[in-house]
Amino acid sequence: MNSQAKISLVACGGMDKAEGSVTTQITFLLLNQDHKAEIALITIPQLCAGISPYPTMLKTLPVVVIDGCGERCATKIVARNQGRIRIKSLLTKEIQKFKKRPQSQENIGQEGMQLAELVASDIQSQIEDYLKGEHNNGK
Amino acid sequence: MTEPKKIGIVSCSGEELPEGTISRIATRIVMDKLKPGLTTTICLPLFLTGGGNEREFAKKHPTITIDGCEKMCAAIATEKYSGKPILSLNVKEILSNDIKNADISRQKMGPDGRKLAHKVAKKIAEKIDHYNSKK
Repeated sequence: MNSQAKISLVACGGMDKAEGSVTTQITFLLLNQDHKAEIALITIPQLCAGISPYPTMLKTLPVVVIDGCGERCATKIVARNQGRIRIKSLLTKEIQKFKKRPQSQENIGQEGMQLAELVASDIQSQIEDYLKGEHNNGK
Repeated sequence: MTEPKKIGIVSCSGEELPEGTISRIATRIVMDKLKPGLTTTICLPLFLTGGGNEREFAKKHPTITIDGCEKMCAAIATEKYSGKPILSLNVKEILSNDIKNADISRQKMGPDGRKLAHKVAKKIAEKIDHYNSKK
């Protein structure tokens, strides 16, 4: 467990749709950026299998959720495990917002990659704003 | 002779380790190239939330779980929600030393990663053949 973590990240990693492949890319991008130490990744399989310490971590840290499709599995799983969702992203909406469509689940293509970068950057800004707010509230 | 039942593959979607990415790629290779028509993927998040027809499918069809590491999350979750998989593979165990010397990351697999994914995919396909031959 990452002891510096201030926020947790739960993302759809579904293999059925291109959206799931893009959410996986977004996760990688968020975990590779400058503030990665502040983010604790909690994968859906770890959470549902009840692997320690992930269910506890989810209850302790505020949560960023990235859903792939309208099923909103990540949101449902976080809610079921009593997580406090603070930032949300739904990829089908992001596709409309950024007008970039991933190619397929096997290969998200150039537009899919651009979409992942745009959404990751957007979520990163929201995380920074949220943590700044938390920090100021704590003063 | 009865047609073999379609096998559902439940792959670890772990973004934490390169082995998670390998398990995803290997699953696709099996489904698209090595055993097309005989296998299908089960969307793990959907299966876990009880959405779609994923659990129903997994109850009626044999399943194979492909986990990235020894936590075996996909195997544990599949057994919990549908039934014992006919086979549970651990990518880390299959690849053991191969992965230590490979030039890969969880985000970028490159040629080494593709090679490893093919190795895992071949192993899955062999197990499927073995399972079907016993029936």
